[in-house]
Amino acid sequence: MKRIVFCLALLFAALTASGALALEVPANGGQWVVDTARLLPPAEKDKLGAELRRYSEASGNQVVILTIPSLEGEDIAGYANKAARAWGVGQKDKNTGVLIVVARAEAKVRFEVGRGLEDRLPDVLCKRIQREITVPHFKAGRYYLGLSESVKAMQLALAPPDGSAEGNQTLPAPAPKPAPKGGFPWLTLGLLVLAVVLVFALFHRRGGGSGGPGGPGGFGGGPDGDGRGSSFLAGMLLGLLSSRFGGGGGGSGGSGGGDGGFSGGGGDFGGGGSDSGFGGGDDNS
Amino acid sequence: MKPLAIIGIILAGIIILGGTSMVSTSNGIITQNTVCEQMVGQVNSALQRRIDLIPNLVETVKGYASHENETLTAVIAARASATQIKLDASTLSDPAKLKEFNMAQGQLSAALGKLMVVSEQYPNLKADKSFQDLMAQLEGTENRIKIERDNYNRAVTELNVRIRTFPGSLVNALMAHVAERQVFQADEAAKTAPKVSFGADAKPAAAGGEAK
Repeated sequence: MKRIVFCLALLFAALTASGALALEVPANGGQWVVDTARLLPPAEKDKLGAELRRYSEASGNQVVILTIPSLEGEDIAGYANKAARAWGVGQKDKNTGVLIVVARAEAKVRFEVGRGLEDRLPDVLCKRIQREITVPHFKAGRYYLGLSESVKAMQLALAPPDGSAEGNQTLPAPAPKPAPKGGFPWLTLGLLVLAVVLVFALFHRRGGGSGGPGGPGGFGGGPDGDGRGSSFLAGMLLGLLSSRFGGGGGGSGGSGGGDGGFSGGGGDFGGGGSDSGFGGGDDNS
Repeated sequence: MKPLAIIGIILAGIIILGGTSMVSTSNGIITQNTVCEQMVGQVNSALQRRIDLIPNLVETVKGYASHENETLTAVIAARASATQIKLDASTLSDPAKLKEFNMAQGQLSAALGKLMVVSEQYPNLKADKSFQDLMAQLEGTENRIKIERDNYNRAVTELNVRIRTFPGSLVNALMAHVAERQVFQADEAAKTAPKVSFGADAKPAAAGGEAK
């Protein structure tokens, strides 16, 4: 037990060291534009969200916007990467997502580009879009225009090279399916068999009746804890034998927004993209 | 049914289940180890990206700041020594070698940081389009290195916890035989990711490789 605690402490320390602590990523709630910094009036925000939704439906690429009041000392690149992965922007296997993060207090903007789009939207291009479109608009306080024009520039860059525009990759936003853990059903099957055997054995021994203690579904929360394990012993075994502890599920998308809402497909981000400051004096960083 | 038979059934069940879960745990450990291995590849390709960027950068800077020979030579030398030590399985399981590797990469970062500071003094260089593009790329590369390192560290920590704690430790000793992996130390990672800011407020402190 001590060892487990020690290892967990190690894990925690490592996560802390790599900067995973600190600023939380806000809940997405199925929105294309999450404006916690309140940079956009509601009407503009909805308009922008509708544009992003249309684009996603047409192209399969998800562009999502997040504005935050402050980074609270965190690095915008690290934060954007964390947020993009937490929301799972983009399709899972193609990693075709872009997250735009705007930090109000620090006057910083970052485009976080999914792994699958890095070739069509390289860092240099992101920087150029920021330098020529985003930053000038933001400096003048035109957040809606800055965002919407930047997104348009991105879409232009992301359009398939063969000129057939966006028509040919019409893929609806994938439904947020919790990722199944590999090899698991086998284990469940085995456990169910054992549970049946045990219940059967107990049943016989006691000569009918009680059917075993209808215990809590085991401790340690086995994967997916589907509450079927009625035997306490089976629950115990489930908890003991399955070495995977909780946490599974993975569907962090949240997707509450009904149809047309944003739901992350689980795209991955490798730090592609670029960031720029749009504060007063500094002109090109 | 006789009690003996019942006990037999229970024992058989436990053995079958134990075996199944051991195999599945072992597979899980091996999968995690493979994922770590793949992430080494990601770190490597991010590092390679930086190394590939340097000749171009040096050439561009040379065009405007040819008499900064010392700085440029330092970058080239650091690049050469960083190319020498590869990040592979043997480096990653050996703390001393990993340290050496981190040193080489850290020196390269420091040399690059110094180059950035130097280039501050050349407005023409700063205004050069291709220099700006290279800066954007370098910045992106540093960021990628950091992110891939963090990814690797996270995956390794998870693996290490798994093979150190109970069911995993037993299964690993019996079946999977996966060695513990070293993580990149936080301070070294920080050193190797200098802020490539060439805005109005670039600090000369970056020269020491302690850039924040």
